[in-house]
Amino acid sequence: DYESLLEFEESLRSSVSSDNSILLYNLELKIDSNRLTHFDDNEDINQNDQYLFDDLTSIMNNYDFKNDDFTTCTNCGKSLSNPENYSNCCQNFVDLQSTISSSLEKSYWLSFINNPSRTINTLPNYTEMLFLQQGIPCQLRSMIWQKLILIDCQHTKNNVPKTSKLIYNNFQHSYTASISKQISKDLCRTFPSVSFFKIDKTIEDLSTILNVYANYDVELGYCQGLLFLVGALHYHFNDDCILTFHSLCSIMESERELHDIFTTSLMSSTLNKWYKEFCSILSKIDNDLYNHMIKFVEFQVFLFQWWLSFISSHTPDLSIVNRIMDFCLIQGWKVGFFKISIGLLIVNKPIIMSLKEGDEEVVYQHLLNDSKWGNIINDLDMFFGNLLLSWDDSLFLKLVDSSCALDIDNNSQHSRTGLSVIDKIKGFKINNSNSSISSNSSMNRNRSDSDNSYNNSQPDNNNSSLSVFSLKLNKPS
Amino acid sequence: MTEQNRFAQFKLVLLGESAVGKSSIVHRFVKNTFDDLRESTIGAAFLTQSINLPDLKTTIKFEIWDTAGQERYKSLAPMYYRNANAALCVYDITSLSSFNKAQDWIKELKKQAPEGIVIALVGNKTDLTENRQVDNDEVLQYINDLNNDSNSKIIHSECSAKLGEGVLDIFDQIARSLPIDDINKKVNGNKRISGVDLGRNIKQNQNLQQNNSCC
Repeated sequence: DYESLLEFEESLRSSVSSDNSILLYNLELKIDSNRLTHFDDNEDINQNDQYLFDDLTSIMNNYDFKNDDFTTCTNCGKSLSNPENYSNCCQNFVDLQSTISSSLEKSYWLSFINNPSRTINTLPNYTEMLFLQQGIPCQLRSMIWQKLILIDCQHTKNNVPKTSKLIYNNFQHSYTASISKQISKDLCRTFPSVSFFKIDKTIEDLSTILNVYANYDVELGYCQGLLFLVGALHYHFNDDCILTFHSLCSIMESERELHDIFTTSLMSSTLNKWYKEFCSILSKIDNDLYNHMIKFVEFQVFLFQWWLSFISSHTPDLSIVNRIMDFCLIQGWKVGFFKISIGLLIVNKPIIMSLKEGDEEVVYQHLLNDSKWGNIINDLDMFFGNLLLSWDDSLFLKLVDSSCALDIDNNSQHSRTGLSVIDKIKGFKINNSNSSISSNSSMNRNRSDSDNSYNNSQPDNNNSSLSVFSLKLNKPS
Repeated sequence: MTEQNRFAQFKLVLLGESAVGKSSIVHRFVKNTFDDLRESTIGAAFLTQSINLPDLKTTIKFEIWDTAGQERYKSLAPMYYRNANAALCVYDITSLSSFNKAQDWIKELKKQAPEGIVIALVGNKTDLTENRQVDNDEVLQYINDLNNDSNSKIIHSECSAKLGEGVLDIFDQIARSLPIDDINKKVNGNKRISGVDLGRNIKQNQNLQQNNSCC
């Protein structure tokens, strides 16, 4: 089976002239980030359950579309919550979604579930094709996201690392009143049309997750835009608050600049840096459009709204939110934001080019609202799978370099006001794992070797998690 | 020459604590609707609406920038109030802290905003009067003190975006305080008088794009 996957990958490689450097770089970054973060959890080593063909089939067949608020019929856009209201197209859609078309694709998803990093590394072209051009089957999305977030947490398999569990269970007190108040104001205003977000338990869970996160990441605390991410994650992980919490931590820790756009002290400067970088890339990709817009439009007005809301505010259809998250999970968040933003401008180019100075308000109204998604909704695969992958990855690679979380050497020089717990914890771990990090420059290094040396340098798991709390308690002023 | 209807366009920004009802006031004014389930505003939203002042034979068009309320986004606010002709500082009459926050915004505007900006202090949610925390007399005292100290006059009003009471009146008052006569803006004599037909452009766009959806 794996042989035929490799064969197919080879044929894709020769037929599609696509560059996977962003995908592979992002994978590497997340794996590195995870290795730094999760060194504990010996208890789970023996859990080695391989997924089998039958498991996959049963997940596919037993999926309940009635309870999926985020998936809509691709043809008519109607919700699938009531089978009695299905049009022909909805029924066709559900039937089509309920099976995986080819045995090759089945093999891929099985391979991915059982070993995500090897699968992406060896099958990058097929990965992008299935994740972005075809889209993750909605039945598998929760599992796939989980696998991506926990990628190469070698000792934990499906489980969230112990550190996150400890933090989640022990930081549920001493909430900051002003932050708690803000969170509770926003909870009923996130995806307000989706019934999942009106359930008391959901509201309670999200409140705990965000309050604990604010306690844990004192530099960021809470920012309204986070709810779009946390809401989408928790929708998919809904019975597992700790996983949602861990995912939020992991995403924020893996990309320093993503974290910074939500902090009081660095929001403005980081967003302005992104804006300049964005303009530079847009001018290289579509100079006509860039030159036309810069004459009469302030890009920041819509770019900042898009980026601060994970491009999920004012989306006409929640299946778009799924696709945005899919895209950013495998391409990286900053790169993902940039590519989707450029894609949105290019799709709207005919409108934008027909407007000129004096029409700013039309541009703003269009780009700040649902209408910017226009026709994309009818062909998400084309947008996320073709347009967004049609640009040279080298244009975006330098973005990752600068936003990489692992700029360890620079970490101490990073200008920030107030020390966050995250920094403390990071600093702590980095000190203990220098040996493995210094040797991580090569893509082909022996990962298990460096992991071993890393683990050897951890004298005692309990000590390390204790220190998290002692650091929290001894927070300097 | 017969006197023609004048037309002027002004930029208005809404500021205020989170969840006081800024977006709801705008939607009541622009669309005359109220939605209990409103997404929180991130960055800013943008809408336009015109009002007629028949006695002055004038049409005023507002470009409305509705900003995000969380304190966190404060560093982005100048982007929106820069060049503003008018500002609505909104508070929630059931929340004293939101009134304090509105006062902070007024202070900031007086320091940073363009000279001559028309400022309105607006208390929303009068439908929840049984939970009132902000005493109207206190607000009037504050306004009086402020207006005695400076030559610019701050407008004060209360409203309920939910019931639709008092909202139009606020924009009417602001319109009448704006320097219509001084205005010598490019928009005078502009071909666009009312809202722009965005739908037409979208349709054009749809024709340009191939439709790959299948059923």
